[in-house]
Amino acid sequence: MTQVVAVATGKGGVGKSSVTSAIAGVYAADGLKVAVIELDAQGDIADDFGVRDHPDQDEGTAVASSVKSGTPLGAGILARPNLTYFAGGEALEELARTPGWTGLDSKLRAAIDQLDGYDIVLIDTPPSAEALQQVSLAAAQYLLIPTAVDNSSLRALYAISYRMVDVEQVNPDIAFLGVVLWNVPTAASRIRSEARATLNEILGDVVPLLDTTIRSAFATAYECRRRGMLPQEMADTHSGAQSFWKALKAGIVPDRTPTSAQSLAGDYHQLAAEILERLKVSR
Amino acid sequence: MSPRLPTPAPVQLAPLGNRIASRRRQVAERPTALHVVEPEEQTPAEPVIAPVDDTPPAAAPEAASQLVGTQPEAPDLPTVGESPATAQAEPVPTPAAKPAQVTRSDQSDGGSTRITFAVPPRCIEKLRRLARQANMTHADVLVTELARLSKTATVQPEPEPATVGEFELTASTPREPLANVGIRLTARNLAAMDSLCERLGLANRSALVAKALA
Repeated sequence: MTQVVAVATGKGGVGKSSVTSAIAGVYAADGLKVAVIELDAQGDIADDFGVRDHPDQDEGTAVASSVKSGTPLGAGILARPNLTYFAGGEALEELARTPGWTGLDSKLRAAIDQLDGYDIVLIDTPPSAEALQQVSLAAAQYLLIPTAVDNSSLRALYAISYRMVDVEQVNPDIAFLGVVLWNVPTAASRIRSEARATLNEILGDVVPLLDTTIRSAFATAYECRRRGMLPQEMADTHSGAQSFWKALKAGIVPDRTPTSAQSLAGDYHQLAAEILERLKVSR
Repeated sequence: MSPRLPTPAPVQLAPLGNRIASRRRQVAERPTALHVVEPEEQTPAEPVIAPVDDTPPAAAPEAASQLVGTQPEAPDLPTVGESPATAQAEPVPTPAAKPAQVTRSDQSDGGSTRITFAVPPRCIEKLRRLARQANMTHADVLVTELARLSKTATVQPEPEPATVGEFELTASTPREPLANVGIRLTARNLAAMDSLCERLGLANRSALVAKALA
């Protein structure tokens, strides 16, 4: 049975697209068949997968059509082996800005039901387009919420929870998969523990706080998106690279692969495993 | 030396469970409003999806008196259609409307007027179901049901080709959003509703809509 997970929160820049693309990459590499549906008009995941200029990149046209009328999502882009990407982009702008449209009558679920043979479908959800958030949640079985540690990000949990309550009338089975702390500096151990304590207090027993925390690794995140690589791929590049000084001595321009790539890839691997475990338990 | 301001205490965020429970209560109490945009001067050639307001969950008691439509007589309507004035005070451009076609609350701008009918939720459900089944707009379903009611009330003359009883149908696909039912009725249909109200001895159009969709 296909598991449909919406990755969403009420604030931008807290790791929705990064988490979606990274864990999709982990699952696909592990042999699961994964679909990523992007509802964000910005279409950042195309950069994460390195398919911005792919010939089948339609800037969200197919996804927008599915959202509006339930038409099949089409073939998508085979971004990696086992990983199909249904691109977001400018075609979703109109839906994101349509006043009065609530999205509660989501057709996206019908389009997802027509996808064949996928183990996991991940829906990357825009932070501010309420109707598209509702579309996403109306189509999903689970909600995964990435968040940063600051109060502004934590407050955004309320907004997405409200959206979830709103869609319960059309999708009563949707459940919280959990909250994942994202972009926490490894050196900031006090902040990390305080943030986890605060989050536990806020979430209570309503939403689980996932054990995995995704570390802040700006250089890796920057390079991943610039090169169209996933953290695990960046880590593999790094592990095969020559030492910086050895390369210089040998007269080779060294590859400046960030050293944090392996750690970050490890975090995402752990997160993917934790999510999978929770999905199995829920199932 | 100026005195130092006291250090503020860290902001405490409310438990999510409380917020979710509160939201669930709000959603449960949220009225289902049936908005009708009434043209004042001219009859639109095509029905237009009326704007849908995210109606706030609780209506202030004084707001009810500002409704253009009034409450139905049915006793089982505690919340439905009690659309507060705030929901009507902000004119929202209709997505599919021409630029000149905007709604207003209680002032005439030469365009149209928004009326809120208060009907039981089951009436809205029936309206949606019939629209889905017949692949018709909610507006056309409503006038069809009104026409049916009209026929049972009195014997009507043979309907003209483009009409259902004294009501005219103008579209054929269910384009209105489903969360809130926003529909646009022609001036002729609204006049026919008034006439039917009088004939059936109903207090207002809301009661008529509720009766037609009961």
